Amino acid sequence: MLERLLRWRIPLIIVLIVVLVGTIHYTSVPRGQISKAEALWRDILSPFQWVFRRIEGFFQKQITEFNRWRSVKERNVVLEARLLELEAEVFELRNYRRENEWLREALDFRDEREHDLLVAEVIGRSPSNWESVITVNKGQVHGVASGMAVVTNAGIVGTVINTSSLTSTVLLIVDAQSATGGLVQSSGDLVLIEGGQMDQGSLVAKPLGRDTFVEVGDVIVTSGLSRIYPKNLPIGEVVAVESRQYDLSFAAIVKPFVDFARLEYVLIVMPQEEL
Amino acid sequence: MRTIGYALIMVLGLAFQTAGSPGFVLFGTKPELMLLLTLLFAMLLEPGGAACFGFFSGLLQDVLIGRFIGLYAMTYLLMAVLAAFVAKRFYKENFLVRFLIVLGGTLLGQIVYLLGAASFGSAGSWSWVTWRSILGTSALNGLLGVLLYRPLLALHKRLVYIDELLKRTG
Repeated sequence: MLERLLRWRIPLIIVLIVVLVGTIHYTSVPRGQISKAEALWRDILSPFQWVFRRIEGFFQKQITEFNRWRSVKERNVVLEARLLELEAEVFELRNYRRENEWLREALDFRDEREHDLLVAEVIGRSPSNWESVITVNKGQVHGVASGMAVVTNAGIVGTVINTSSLTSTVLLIVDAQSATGGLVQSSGDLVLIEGGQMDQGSLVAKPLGRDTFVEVGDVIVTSGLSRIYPKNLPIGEVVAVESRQYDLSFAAIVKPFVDFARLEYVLIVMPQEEL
Repeated sequence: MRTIGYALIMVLGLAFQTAGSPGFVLFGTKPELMLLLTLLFAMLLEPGGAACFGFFSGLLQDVLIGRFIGLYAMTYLLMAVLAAFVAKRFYKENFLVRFLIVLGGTLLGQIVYLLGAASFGSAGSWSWVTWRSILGTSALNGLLGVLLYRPLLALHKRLVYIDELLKRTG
């Protein structure tokens, strides 16, 4: 049997290469749904990932606790000062809230419905440095489907690109294949937020209009023009603006509010039921 | 038995590599654990066995990522065969030889993967940051390879021993 296989090894290698090139080509474009074999493999691997995540989490917690214990005194002074600042800010915000409520009533403002959010734990990351995806422990059985937005309280994280029964893969906004509609909060100008920066920690904002103006310190939020992300979710802050195409255009470097290196839990935005 | 052992090593390696937080990060890069295991086992196995190990470890990673399925399989297969042939011609017990084989294999493997991905339409630039990431990962893999070679050699010998024992006792 083995000898027969060895005799046919050259044709077998050629067939293998042809098949692999075919699968690479077929899977080089985003797919709405993954195959059953892929879904099964992810479901098999997820308990192992969960166990390693717990072990790693335990050690990280010990290190964090140790570091926190060392710096508790200095932190206390800083936190007391911060508390005073925040108390003043809360007082100011209460005033704004009252004013806002009064204005809403005055304008007969129709409040947007709250989105249903599903909490999911991050159990896996991309095995290599060249893809920015995470795996979360909620899948089809929990009602998750491709195209759903994933956020944290700090800002947007990415989009669900495929699901298995128990897990979902999320394409992070810092990935090269990601593009999100954004809005400069101060001016209301529309920008396109793209990933693919090789340091994997920043985004690029490209103007969608000719008169778009962005400067360092501007906050970028979701535009709400796509059906994926709800409006006004924070994306990041502009840290640099670079001229492109003989000063006719520009690209702004945006530092995301979400710390992708330390994601533990995320919120999946579930679709609103139609009225 | 050996096959089951190697399969378990692949599954645990992949689960560890992808578990939660980024884990062991140096200069903004993390080690390519599956490529590291492939190169280390390539030094311990015959070229045929090394090719199989490389192919399946790459394929498992491919299926998990779900993009360019088959590219890691081909890359790791190629790197495993190359590493196995190089290890045969040099004195692999020297830690410097092991370090250079893993470093070179990781460097070449990443370049081959990125070139392959680019030829199938992946966006990405060959900027200094890309090279820093490639070199950082290669150096990290090289160092880890030196440290992990002995434990993996012991594990490999144990698997061979159990396999032989099972064969003889039926």
